[in-house]
Amino acid sequence: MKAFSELVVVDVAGSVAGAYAGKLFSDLGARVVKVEPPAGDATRWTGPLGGRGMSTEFEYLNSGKSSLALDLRSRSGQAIFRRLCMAADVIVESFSPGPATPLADELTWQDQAVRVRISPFGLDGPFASWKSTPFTDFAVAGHLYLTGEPDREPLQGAPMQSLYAAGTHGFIGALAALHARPGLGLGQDIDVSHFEVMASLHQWTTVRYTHGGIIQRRVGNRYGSLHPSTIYQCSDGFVAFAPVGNEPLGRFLAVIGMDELLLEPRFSTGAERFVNADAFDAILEPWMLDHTVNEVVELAQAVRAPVAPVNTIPGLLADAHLKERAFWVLPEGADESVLQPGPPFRMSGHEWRLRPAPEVGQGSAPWVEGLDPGAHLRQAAIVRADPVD
Amino acid sequence: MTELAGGALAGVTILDLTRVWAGPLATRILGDLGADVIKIEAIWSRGPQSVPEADVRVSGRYPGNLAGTRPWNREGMFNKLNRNKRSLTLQLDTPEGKELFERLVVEADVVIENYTPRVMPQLGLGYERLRELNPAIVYLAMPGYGWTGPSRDFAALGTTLEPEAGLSSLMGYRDTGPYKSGVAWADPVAAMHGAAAVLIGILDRDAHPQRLGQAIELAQLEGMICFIGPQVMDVQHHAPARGGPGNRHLYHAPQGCYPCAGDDRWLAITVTSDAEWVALCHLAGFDQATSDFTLDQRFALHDEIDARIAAWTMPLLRNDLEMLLQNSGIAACAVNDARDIVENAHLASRHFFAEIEHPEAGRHRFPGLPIQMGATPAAYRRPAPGLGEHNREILVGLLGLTDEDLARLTETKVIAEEPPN
Repeated sequence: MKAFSELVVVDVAGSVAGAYAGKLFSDLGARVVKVEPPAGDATRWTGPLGGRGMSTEFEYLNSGKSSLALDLRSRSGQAIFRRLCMAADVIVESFSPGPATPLADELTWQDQAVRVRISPFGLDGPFASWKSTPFTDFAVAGHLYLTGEPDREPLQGAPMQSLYAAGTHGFIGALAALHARPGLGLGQDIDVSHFEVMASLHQWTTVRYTHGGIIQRRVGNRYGSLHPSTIYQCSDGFVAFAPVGNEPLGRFLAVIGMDELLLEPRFSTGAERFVNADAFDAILEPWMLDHTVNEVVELAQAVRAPVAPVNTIPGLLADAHLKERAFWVLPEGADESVLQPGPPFRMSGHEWRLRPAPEVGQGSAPWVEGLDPGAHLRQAAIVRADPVD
Repeated sequence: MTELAGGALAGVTILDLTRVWAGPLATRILGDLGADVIKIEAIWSRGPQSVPEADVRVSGRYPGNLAGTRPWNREGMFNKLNRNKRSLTLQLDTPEGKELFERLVVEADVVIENYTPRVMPQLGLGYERLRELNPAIVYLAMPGYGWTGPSRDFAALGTTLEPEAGLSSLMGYRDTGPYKSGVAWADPVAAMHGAAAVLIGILDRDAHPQRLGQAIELAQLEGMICFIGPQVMDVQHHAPARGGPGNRHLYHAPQGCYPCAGDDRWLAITVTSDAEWVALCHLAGFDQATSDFTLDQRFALHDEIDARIAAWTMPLLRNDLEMLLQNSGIAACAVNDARDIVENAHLASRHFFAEIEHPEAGRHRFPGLPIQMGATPAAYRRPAPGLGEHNREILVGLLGLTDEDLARLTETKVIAEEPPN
């Protein structure tokens, strides 16, 4: 079994999905090579720019990768790409729709590689050629219908979530295939679609239909079929308030002197409270408006009731818990002060490092060594010179 | 392509102590990939013997809205999340229950739990003890806040972690405060990171000269934040946090949710280029001047454009519209509800749903593993287990206990096949 740090991952991701899969590999120490056009990947300038003249999206998603700038339309570019793929343990493609590179369908000869192919609707089926954005992914997979107020239009979720979810599933598939590879003696192809990933990530939406015939609709900031699991406004912000069970809710209500509420039949169970949620909230809301977010969170957590602040991003960056855990990190050796999220999980025996995203062509030397791309290739912008090595 | 019998993770044994959604989904992903997942449950973990009638009716999660005489084995969400697993009841807070668990740890590859950090050490089952029993063990803990820090012992749920992680502040109508997603989004996000972390732990162990395992701490709050990295950076560059307002896109226009014919029927559209805009204008019959709008103009006139698109879509069927727009290369999808998904032709053609027959709950269609593996496809080998269904198989078959031992363990309520009254 090859050590994780020896894995070679070729990242030909054309979207956030594959790029996030590549980032997970990269930050955990694999050697990830991002293949991009000589002029640079379009996502380098997509959205707000960060301090290095590249988009924050690119900077975040390409941490620690090296860049190999190739013109894949040229024969020489294709030759270099093939050589790179010969060395690959994993090839990550993500595209919308259609193949990621002109060579996508020719890669089957590299049967040792695990090939992760992430697309909006998958590689076959009637919608295979359909386009998507995170917004339409959210719609088609049933999440948009559930989000927002019942008497208003459905409301989108946080940005790009379908792409991060699809990328993480591609990563899981790649890891499972690497585990199976010694037994199989081969890599394999993995087909991941945004649609199926998002459709699989409902808590009970499809179950309520297949079991109880219920088509779940939007319920504003309430949740499921139990109450209170909601957002309340406080004097200085909002809290996410979710002690739906009688025990944690009873402990909280006792603290604020309202525990007799649970004696009323209409509030006696989570389901009864859900049916009578307007009445329940009309009693609790004035108390909430009279208290600060911190007061509510502290009172609730002192009796182990799940209640948390609804953070803005600046509020999140100031959070004492995350600071004490040193969650926010700067890329190693980077001449900047913009913090990024740390690891999604911490492993006692596996290093996680945040390194800067590459400039176009940065770190490509090992992959073109001995090939002597030569002046004529560089001139033709097939291989862009490595600005650092 | 050749196939490998039993799936990619055949031969991997996982002891699953998790409850609710995040943990059970993580182990279901691993089980779908072929791992042998032993779900270790407290005898009361599926609730009491009976369920209030209102809960059954309002939840809609029991087959035919009937609790039945053994409701603890019929609840749909549990049965969705726990296929491909075996159930062993064990009271870990009894000396015998703990000892049996420790004997299983010796045989297992992975232990997964999603308690607050106090629980495992209190049970005498912290990582140090697990490692002593089995140095190769891969141990994944999935607490809300992690093992350290001032909030470490706080109670958390997916519905509190998503807003706390900042995602809700990126959502909302233009005239409202923050919103939550329609599902407790932090839970499945923790699940997928957790499944990945376990796989890395196994790969590391197999590559390690002494086959050593490791401990993995997954703070669900932190993993959630990893899904909005660029937004965290934007704020520090003094750019506005991305997201919303409403259904708008930050750099494409128009994007919106438009009403269609029928009750609560909608179409989601994002126009991502000038060419797509021209195509949409052609389909909707907009005039040349409108069709010539630049991206800047489309942003400036977004309200007016939304009204004109809505006037076009209002009398039309959302499925006709999505086909029409997609055929012109425009990202447009119907806003599907539960029935639309379960009956979706595309998902059916890709065999996404698993039809699973459960002896006490009947036959139902459940979402499958959304990772189609060419050589090691997901298999739905067994329905969700009844409470304690595999007590005998595991305790007698694997650990060599006798029938007398089982009777005594049942008598002392260390194991059970029905919840206590």
